[in-house]
Order: sequence, then C-alpha cells, then structure tokens
Amino acid sequence: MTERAYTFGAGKALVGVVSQPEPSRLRAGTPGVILLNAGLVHRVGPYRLHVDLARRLAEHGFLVVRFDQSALGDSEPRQGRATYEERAVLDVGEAMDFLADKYKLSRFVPMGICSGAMNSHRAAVADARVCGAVLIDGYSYRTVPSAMRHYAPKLLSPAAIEGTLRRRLTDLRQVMRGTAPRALGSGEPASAARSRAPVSATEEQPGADAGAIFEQDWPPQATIAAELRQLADRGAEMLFVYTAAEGFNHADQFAEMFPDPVVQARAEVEYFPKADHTFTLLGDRRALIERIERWMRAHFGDK
Amino acid sequence: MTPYYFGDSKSPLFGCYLPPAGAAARDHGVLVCSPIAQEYVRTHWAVRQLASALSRAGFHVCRFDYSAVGDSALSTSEATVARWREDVELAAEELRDNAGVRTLSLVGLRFGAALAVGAVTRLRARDVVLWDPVVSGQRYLDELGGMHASLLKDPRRFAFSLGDEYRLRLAPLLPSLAGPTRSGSDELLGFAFPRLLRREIAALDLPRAAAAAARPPPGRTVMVLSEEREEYRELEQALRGAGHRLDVMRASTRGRWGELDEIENALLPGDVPRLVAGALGGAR
Repeated sequence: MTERAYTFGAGKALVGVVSQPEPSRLRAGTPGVILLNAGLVHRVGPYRLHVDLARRLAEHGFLVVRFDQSALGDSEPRQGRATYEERAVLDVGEAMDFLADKYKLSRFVPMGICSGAMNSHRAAVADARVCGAVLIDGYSYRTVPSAMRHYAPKLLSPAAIEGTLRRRLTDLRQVMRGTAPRALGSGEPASAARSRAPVSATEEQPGADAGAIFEQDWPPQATIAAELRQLADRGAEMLFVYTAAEGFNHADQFAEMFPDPVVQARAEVEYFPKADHTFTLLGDRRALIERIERWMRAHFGDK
Repeated sequence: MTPYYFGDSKSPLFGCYLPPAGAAARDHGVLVCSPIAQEYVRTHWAVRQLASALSRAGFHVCRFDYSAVGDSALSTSEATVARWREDVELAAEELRDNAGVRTLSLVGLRFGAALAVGAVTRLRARDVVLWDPVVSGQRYLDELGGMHASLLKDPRRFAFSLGDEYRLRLAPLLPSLAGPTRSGSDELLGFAFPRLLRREIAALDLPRAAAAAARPPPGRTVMVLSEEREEYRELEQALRGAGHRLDVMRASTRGRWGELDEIENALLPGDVPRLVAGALGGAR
C-alpha cells in the first residue's frame, strides 16, 4: 500500500490523499472508495478513523481517496453561490472525475459519518457512477416502536428522573422570578433561535458557511425513502451503520423506517448501541472498520 | 500550498509547503510543529491559518504530520517521542532543501512546542515560538487521563443501559461495582498511548530542559498563551534563567485544553497568526 497527496478539481482547489493497493492486489472493475468529511473534521476523520479505514481497505485491493470538501481542511473555498449541499455534490463529483482520469476507475463507493453520510447519500442520488455507499449515523427517523423503546426505560432511569426534576425546578424558579427566556418575537426558547443563527464566512472559520453543516434540514422521510428506492432500483448496495446517537435505538429501526422490500434487499444494517457518534473508543473503531471491510469485500471484492 | 510526502519511502511523512505569498520573500523558513493525538485533529484549522499568515508575511513555511499522526505513515500504536524528534529534524532539513533558506525558526503548539524547544540547538533555529506549550509531560498525561475517565462516564456521549446507569451511580460508594471499562488501558481520548510513549512523555520537563540546554536560540523565544497556568510561569522563569530573550504574548481565544466538552471542537486561531507573524518580524 502506498499513499500520495494530490490537489484536484476546478482550480486544483481540493486536497486529498490516495491510498493505493499493491499492484498485485488491484482488480479490474473494483470501485474506488471516497471518504467524506465528518462535520468540520479534516480528511483524517474523527480520531484518525479515515486514515485507518483507507489503509485497511487498500490492503484488501481497494483504492481509497480521503479528501477535504471545499472550504474544509486543506481545501480552498469553491467560487460561486452554491449551497453547502450543492457544493458537496460538486466536490464528490470532482473526486470521481479525478479518480476516473488518474486511475481509470468507473464506479465509486462514497462513505462518511454524520454530514459525511448525508453527502454520500446526496452524491449517490446525483451520480449514476455511485454503485454503493456506507452511511454512518445518517438519516434516522423515529418510529412508533423506537419511541416506545426510547421512553419506556426513562421511567426508571436515574439520569432521566434527575434531569426532569432539575428542569422542572429551574422552570418553576424562572417563572417565579419572571426570567423565563424566550427569543424575541418568536415565542421559542432563545437557545433554539441561536442555534439557527447564520455563521458568517471568515478566514478564521472552517467551512465557508460552517453553520450550514450542522443546521441541515432533515428531508421528509418519504423523500429519503423514494431516493433509497431509486438507488436500489439502480442496483446500488448500501451499508447503514448506526450508533444510539441519532435517535436510533434498535437494529430493526431501519426496516421500520424504510420497509420497502426492494430497498431492504440492497441494504445491510449494523447497529453499535455501545459506541458513541464519533467512535471515540479504539475497540469501537476497530469493530466499525472490520464491518466496513467485510461489507466491501462481500459486495465488491475478493469475498 | 503544495501537499506532499517526504522522507523514508517505507514510512513517509505528510507535509504542506507554502512559499512566500503576497509579501517580499524572506530568506527565512518557519517549521510549524503541530500537537499530537486528538489535539492535532482539533487544531488542524488553526495550524493551517497560522501557516497561511506566515506565508503571506513572506516566510517559507512547512507544516507536517509526525509519524503515526494525521496523514503520515504508521499506526497510532507505533508512535514514539524519539521518532517525533527525528521527524522534526527531517522536516526542517526538507524545508531548508526545498526553499533554500539560510535562516530557520520553529513554531510549536502544545506538544509540538515541547518538541520545538528540544530541537532548537540541533537545528540552529533563530527564533522559537511556543503556543500554549505542554510544559510537564506527566501533568499532560494526568490531564488527558482525567478527561478520558470522565468521557467514559458521559451519558451525553454514550447510551448506557439502565443497569450500567445504576452501576456507575453507585460505583463511588461501592467500588466493586465500577467493573471493567470498555476502554483499553493504553487509550486516552480516542488514541493509543502505549507504555513506551507514556514513559517518554512523562519524562518531558521543559523548565529542566531549558535550564540544561547548552545555549538559548540566538533570536527570540516567544510564549503565546491563551490561558493562565502555573506551569507557564515556571517555564517563563526557567527560560529567562537560561538566558532566553523572552517575550510573552496573550492570545485572544482560549485553548480550553483541559475541558472535555472541547475535545471535538475545532480551535479557531483568533489573533495568534498575526501575533506570531509579527513576533518573527513578519508584520508589515
């Protein structure tokens, strides 16, 4: 396995590192893997996950690029007025163009955590060259069973009981003092309004509009269901990995959210109930990498 | 900015070279030494901004990843301080060769500052800038260890089962309930810190190293500090005692290095790039 650093895309504005398998392990038709930024973390990934994952996949014959989307990490901002979501699709498209040109690859598997998962989904929907995707803590919607699984244990949870009592006590104190906070004219808590405040683009701020990364509108469930069906009809394979961070609380929740049998036939789901959102612990990261490697080999590799 | 790999082809280092941009080129290179482990990840943007500011001020700049850090070769379990010291020397040599500069200065952030101090004499560096330096290796490990222990019990990060919740709550009263954690003993905030690495880090004592050094750098030593810490005063005293021409500057944004809630938040550099460029004689 060897690694090389590149600049590519319009104006060579994007920076990435390619992990290339030993020539003896390269097979014709194998898709290239594209690792996308998780939030504002640069291409090495949370706790260096992308480096370890890229190297592991390269050992198994997959060519992998980890790169910084425009205005993140080492990459330059993109010219023009595209939104964060539009830029992500353009960036992934340029990464595919680069790998196609430089390494003669024609099929691709984008992967990412959180915003990286959403961007992998967007890229898959937008570009027919995508033949698979790994979405880690991507779109998640509450279902009736998941709501029951969520709320029932809280009746006995010391943290939940304590939190509820504290909140009630604080509310009561604020009401008695007349200091209950409300955003001006909105009738909603000030903290909620603040979280949507736009973040201005400055040289000191990663991501030209960093706030947009964390304030993405969750599309309606029906939209995602239709797009997943579109991908499944196209033959794209999908691995959905969830932790308990995004309102996901059981391996069956994916089937509850997206019961379409055509989607189910193309989707594998792995639930890591003990892991945190960024797979901080070494053991959790090892398990995640092994799962992705197994899935890649089963669908696109040497089995 | 040119990203590239350099050094031994079996275990290359990742670096970014920035030529002078905007201002008249100086015959002066600046090597930026980043932090390690999770601090490396959360400071990437700040280090990038610092390097860009120095480039705009006319310096040749190199920022790079040590072995087993960032995009460089080796896994985190293979990291050693001895290797990182060699990496600093290799990167400095690379910068001198690439840029053809006669003068070299070092800028280090957190653990990178500790590595920079140790390299001043060998590299014949003119100036050295220490941004929120790790002063005592043992205190650094203790701080990371404390945050790691808190992280493992953080219900905002991990979903605990009801049984786990009660066990954690009762553990202070009945230690036997604490049980084994899911974290390995060689692990701190998401990164492996094997025994050898811990031993090397624990041995790090900047005030003692400064006192024992053969001579201070010929130029200036600058401490850029974003927090008040007793150990910074100890280091300041030791550097003055060892004959360093020392300036101490205050940064506008706090590093919050000891706060668990900050470990995944990107550090914004505030006025540090401007301060450092000015301190190295680059403000124009």
